Amino acid sequence: MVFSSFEFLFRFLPVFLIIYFLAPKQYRNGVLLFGSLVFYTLGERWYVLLLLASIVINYTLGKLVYKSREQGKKMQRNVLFLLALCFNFGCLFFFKYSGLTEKLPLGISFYTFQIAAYMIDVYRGVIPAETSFVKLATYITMFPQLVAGPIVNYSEVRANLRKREIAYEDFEEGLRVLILGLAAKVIIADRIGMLWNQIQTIGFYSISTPLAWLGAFAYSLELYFDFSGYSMMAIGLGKMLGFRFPVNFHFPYISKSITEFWRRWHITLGRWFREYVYIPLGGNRKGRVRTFINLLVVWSLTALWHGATPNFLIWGAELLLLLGMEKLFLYERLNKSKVIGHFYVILLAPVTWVAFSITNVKRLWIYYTRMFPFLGKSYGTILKNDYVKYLGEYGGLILIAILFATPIPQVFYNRMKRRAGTKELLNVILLLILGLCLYYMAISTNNPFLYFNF
Amino acid sequence: MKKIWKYRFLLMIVAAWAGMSALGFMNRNTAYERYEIDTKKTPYFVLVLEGIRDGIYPWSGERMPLWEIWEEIASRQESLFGTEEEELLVTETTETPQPETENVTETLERTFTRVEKDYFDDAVFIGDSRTVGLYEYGGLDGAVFYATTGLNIYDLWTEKICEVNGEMVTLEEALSTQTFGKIYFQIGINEMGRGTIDGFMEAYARTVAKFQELQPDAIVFVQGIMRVTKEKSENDEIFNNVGINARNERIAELADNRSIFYIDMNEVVCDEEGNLDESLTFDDIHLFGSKYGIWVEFLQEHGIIVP
Repeated sequence: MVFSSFEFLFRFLPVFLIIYFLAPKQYRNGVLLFGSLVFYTLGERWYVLLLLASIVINYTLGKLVYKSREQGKKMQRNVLFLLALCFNFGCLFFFKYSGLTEKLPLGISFYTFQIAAYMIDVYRGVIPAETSFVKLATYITMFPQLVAGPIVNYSEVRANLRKREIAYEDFEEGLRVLILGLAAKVIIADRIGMLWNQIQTIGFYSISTPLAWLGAFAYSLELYFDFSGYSMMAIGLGKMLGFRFPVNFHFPYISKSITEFWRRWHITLGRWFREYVYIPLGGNRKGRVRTFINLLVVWSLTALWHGATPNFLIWGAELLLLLGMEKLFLYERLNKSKVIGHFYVILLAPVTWVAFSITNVKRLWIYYTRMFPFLGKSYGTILKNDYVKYLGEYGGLILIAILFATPIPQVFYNRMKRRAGTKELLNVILLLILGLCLYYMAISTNNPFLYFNF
Repeated sequence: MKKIWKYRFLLMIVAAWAGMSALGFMNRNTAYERYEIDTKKTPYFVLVLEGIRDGIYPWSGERMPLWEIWEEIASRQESLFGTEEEELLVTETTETPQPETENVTETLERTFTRVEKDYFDDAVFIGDSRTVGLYEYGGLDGAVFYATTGLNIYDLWTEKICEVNGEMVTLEEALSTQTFGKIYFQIGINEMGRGTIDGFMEAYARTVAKFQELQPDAIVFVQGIMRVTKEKSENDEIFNNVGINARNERIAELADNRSIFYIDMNEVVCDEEGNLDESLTFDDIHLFGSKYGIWVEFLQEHGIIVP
């Protein structure tokens, strides 16, 4: 059940919210846990047992690790900790990379990282082990962020799991953020995505170089609005329920370097790798060679986390190359520049996203030869000025997407929110945006004739 | 009470939700009769939104879907013009064993021959997105194409789909002002799931008759609808090869092998099981741009030379 479905927005969510707010405060964690398990079971059925087993095991091991830490039993603590890590990453590996299962359990990449972060923090003594099973289980399964992040650290919600006051401003603001996220997904991402789909339908042999670039830009925008929209919906839902989730995307496309880009893109994942892999390995404090080895490890793992097909290794290698060059000499220069840095990111980020998208390596190579015709010649019929046709169809939408990839709309949003009169206007605008979202959802889900208009 | 008013935005959404759903619910058996929704998962306001797409509003009352209107007009014309045309269409296909007709066909029946690309210089191609693809990637530069994505037999004659001297005109105008030697026609996948096969064939036969009326000297090639892949066919209740084959069989019956010919390019793009070859397509429905040459080659193998 995705957030951008009628079933979630107009069936699950209202029923859940009513029960949640009618319930006495001390039962709200329980209601949230139960609701989240229902949410997960509706989408995944039996894998909910894996999720539950994982929580039980980590809850128990977490408590034992903490106890042995307090008792100073170092050996025991290490063994239990390793056991927990082996279980968590073993599960992830088994389901994601072994090829033995047909389907990936929903959200396993995300919740595994959250549980592992919890275990590591307990092991390090950053946080005490959670004694309440319900609280820990609520943290892991919380439906707003269970399926697609943000990857929330336990320390960020620990206080709210004990006590939370939901002010009406927070609830209303959460609702607005939810709608903005929905709009990013439904109005922008899903519709720009149709261009990428059309390019694949044409086949990469038969696209002109400008169309190949247009496609790469379109896909980059689709991915951003899809993923950041989903994160926004999660943040909005969290806010409605009284939680404050960390920001996951911070206008990545206005960056001046790929290094900066990745500080702004999927922030909670980058944070995870930095805190739990890069810094423990020594980060950049152990000399240049070690820094590069550490970067290599982090980006290989990042690539692997995103997917198990070989194209993700190519994608990771491209990023590693760019980040390495920036570490060596490029970053300072790009960062000082006013224009060049922006061009650099706007041109290169889409090149890397192409490798992210096209899972078949041979087809990926064909796409690159179309983007860079000097790499190889085309042997397909190419429609003359094909990009003009698609610019005509998608140009307006792409412009809107570019505008919303910058912080400008947010400035206006915040300004309008501050004054009572403009706030009412903002509410009306958002209601209309919601209407537009629902319109697009209605004509695409219930009707095969939009996507299948031959 | 004052506290509730603080949740203004929520109240606005709930009010809009309730109001729109009430509209959808009250008109579910009238204006929105033709829409089906699963109310377990979908709110009633979806009916209103779907209606907006099709230009149907709660006050539209009981309205017939466009294709039903078309079908009805087609059947009304039949009674107006008498049965002459109708008989022509029916008897040709069902009563061929009659000795006299056989004699005629023997002398006039033509067979397919290999032709070069300049053969298509006086041809017009009419159809949906598949024909658009042929235009864009087939390399038939001499031919004229009147094709748009989503085109169906019901709005073929009403929409302004033809560009003539930089102006968009209807198919009737376009065919009235120019002369073509061949008409290639492939349509019929967008109509699936709407109306009946009989209604579709009614409109199709009338369209072919209209081609002959407007272009009496042209050879009309009615093309079988290109099938979809096995994957698509087996998982789609509407767009599957059973439905396509049923239509193609009926389309084939229109051929008289004198001035109307049935050609079916599925021969060259399908596997042994009769499904569209998966290596030729990304979306299971359209050929890759680089594969339209197969279709062109097929067309070149199936030329009809008028002596």
